[in-house]
Amino acid sequence: MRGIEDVTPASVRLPVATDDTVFPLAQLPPDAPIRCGEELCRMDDMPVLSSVCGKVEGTLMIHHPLYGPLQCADILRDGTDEVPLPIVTEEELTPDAIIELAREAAVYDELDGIPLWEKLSHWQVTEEDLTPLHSVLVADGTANDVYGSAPWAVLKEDARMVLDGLRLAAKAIRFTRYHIATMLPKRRRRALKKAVGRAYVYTVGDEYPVTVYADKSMETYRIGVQACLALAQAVREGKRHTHTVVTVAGDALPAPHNLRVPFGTNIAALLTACQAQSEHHIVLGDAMVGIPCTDPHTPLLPGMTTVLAMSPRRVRTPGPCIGCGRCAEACHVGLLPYEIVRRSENMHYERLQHLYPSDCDGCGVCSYVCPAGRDVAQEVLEAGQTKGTMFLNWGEDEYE
Amino acid sequence: MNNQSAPYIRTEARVSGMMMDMLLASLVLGIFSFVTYGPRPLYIMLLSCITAVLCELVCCVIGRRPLRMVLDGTAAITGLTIGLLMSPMVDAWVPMVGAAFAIVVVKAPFGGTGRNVFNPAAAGVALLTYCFPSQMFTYPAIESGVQLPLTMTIEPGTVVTEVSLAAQLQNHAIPPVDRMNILLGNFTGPIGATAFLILLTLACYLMVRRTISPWVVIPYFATCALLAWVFPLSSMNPANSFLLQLGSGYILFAGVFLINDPVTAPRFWLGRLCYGILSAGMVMLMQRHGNYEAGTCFAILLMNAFAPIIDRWSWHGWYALTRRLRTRKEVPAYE
Repeated sequence: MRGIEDVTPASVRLPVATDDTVFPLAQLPPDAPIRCGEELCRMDDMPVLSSVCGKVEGTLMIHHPLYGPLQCADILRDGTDEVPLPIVTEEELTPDAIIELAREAAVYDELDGIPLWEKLSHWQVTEEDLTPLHSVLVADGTANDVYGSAPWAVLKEDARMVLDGLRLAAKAIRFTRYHIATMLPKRRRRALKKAVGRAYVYTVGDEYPVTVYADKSMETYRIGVQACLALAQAVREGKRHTHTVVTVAGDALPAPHNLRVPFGTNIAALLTACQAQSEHHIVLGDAMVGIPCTDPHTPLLPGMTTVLAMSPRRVRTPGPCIGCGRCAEACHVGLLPYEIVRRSENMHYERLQHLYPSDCDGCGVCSYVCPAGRDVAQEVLEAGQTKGTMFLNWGEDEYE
Repeated sequence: MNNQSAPYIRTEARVSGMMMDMLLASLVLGIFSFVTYGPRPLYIMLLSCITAVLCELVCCVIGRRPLRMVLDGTAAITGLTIGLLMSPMVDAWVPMVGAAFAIVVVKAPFGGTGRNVFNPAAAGVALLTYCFPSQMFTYPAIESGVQLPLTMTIEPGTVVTEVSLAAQLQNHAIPPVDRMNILLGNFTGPIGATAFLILLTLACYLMVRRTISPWVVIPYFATCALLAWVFPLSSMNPANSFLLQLGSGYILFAGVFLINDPVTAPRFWLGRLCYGILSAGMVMLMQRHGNYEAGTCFAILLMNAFAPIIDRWSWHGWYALTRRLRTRKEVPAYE
């Protein structure tokens, strides 16, 4: 694991509209200089911030593999000016004020790309509510992946700030229990416990996928460590959430790194920073569930913490299922993947529901272990959407 | 640029690797038999194996299945398994008939590898047991030390024959018990089914390699041992009865090769456990009260028919019990 390196790209590309909703690029005359943290437009009640200081070159339509069609503004970087947020005193930090700050600082949760304020205001409880008694807010520092280590790097750099952000988030939703969940090696774990205090570190099992982030009796509410860090920086230092830490790795990269980059950075720029040379293809997300990406000029947007460059390898033609049962052994939900696949291949859709294919969360372990090389997870996910008839799954591919 | 779907990393385990393990196991048994009887057992195994592979090839061509499916080794294992269950002095065409039947009638019509309901090898041997019992159950005497000739058929009278252990037990005779000989496999019987300790070692090896599942093997052996111990043969002490019953017939062999065929066995651990116990009971029953001296294959075929039901019912029971416990206590941002 390496530390974090800062990379400043020549230009960034930020979404300012989706295909069906147009958000006006308000008060932006062409060629106008724009400062880092300045508002480009408002999308869904939340500002879209410029992540660098520079000049808007124009807009263009891109097709993002994760978020679909997006209207993006190209910003050429020039200078380092930053617009700070006003610092709020401790007395003014009511739960609602924290959520409002999270919105104004445009803090996104890197786990799923959802704005943090939306998550927090959805979870917020009233003072009389008893939910906090059996609930816990968790900062997910598990890096639940083969290659990804961005949360580890963030925790290594500034664990106290992460804890501070977590404390603020917990205050915002009126929770009293919160901790950082990690799966670090022993020595690093000890260092983390020393930095933030033993009570705030919870060690999860060293397994994939992680499903238990707290004691089993507790309900878990999960946010990312980078979101915590961004919230703390917004409240304490007046910094807006314009940068993210991303793991750039994969077997085709000679120098994998954790990079701190502005949102909207080209993936090509990330790969160049890590000296990618040989032929490779790009995966957004981790090695188990990532999404393939064909365009290296795709911008990095909130919700992406891992970018992989995998060397091409020959894919075996899947053979027939011989019934070794390893997929069932590996499934952490306890499903019967082989039987689901068999029924859906034989079109026994009405009998599929007895096998609960919709319980699958698509972790991909069954595909990983299959000795016949079949795409079990994909088939189970498809089976989970059929809902008892063969017709429901037709003609609703939303990205076509 | 062609591995464009998750997951982007895959395990190194392969079906062909599992089949190589089984191949290795059958070769060990072949060599064991070679030491006792000379090259003829290997010859029989080879013929049977080649027949099975050729039949699979033809069936793939006729069924328009890709020919590379022959290369995964499942047909070769079927052939070798049939060869291993023959008597060393069987006419060489007998295992070939069995192997052809196994592939052409029992495996291919159901859709080939991975889709057959019954274990092809068990069905082949069951057919041979039913049609040619005299061929199947005439064994050369082990003390004679003669090398069996490498001919298609062996003239009656040229080889000293001996009644097998299983046949003696079936006729309620009390064979002389030399525990060491039985453990070392030094008694009359089929090519690969007498090697008592070797078979147990192979079972351990294959379990460590995860080619066969301990959830089937251990309950199977445990139940067989328990039944042999608890219901000893008349006027015999339990320890001797245990050794004789497990050593006779195909009981140990079936525990390593036949009931572990992943295609025809249940795949969920609880189903495998039930399957192991039930097939052990069935095998012991057929062995004690069947008409043939080796009824194991019939028992296996019968259990194969129930395997899918055992699998599903065990899983439904288990999942219904644990689903409530498994539901994750994580609260998503949107519900």
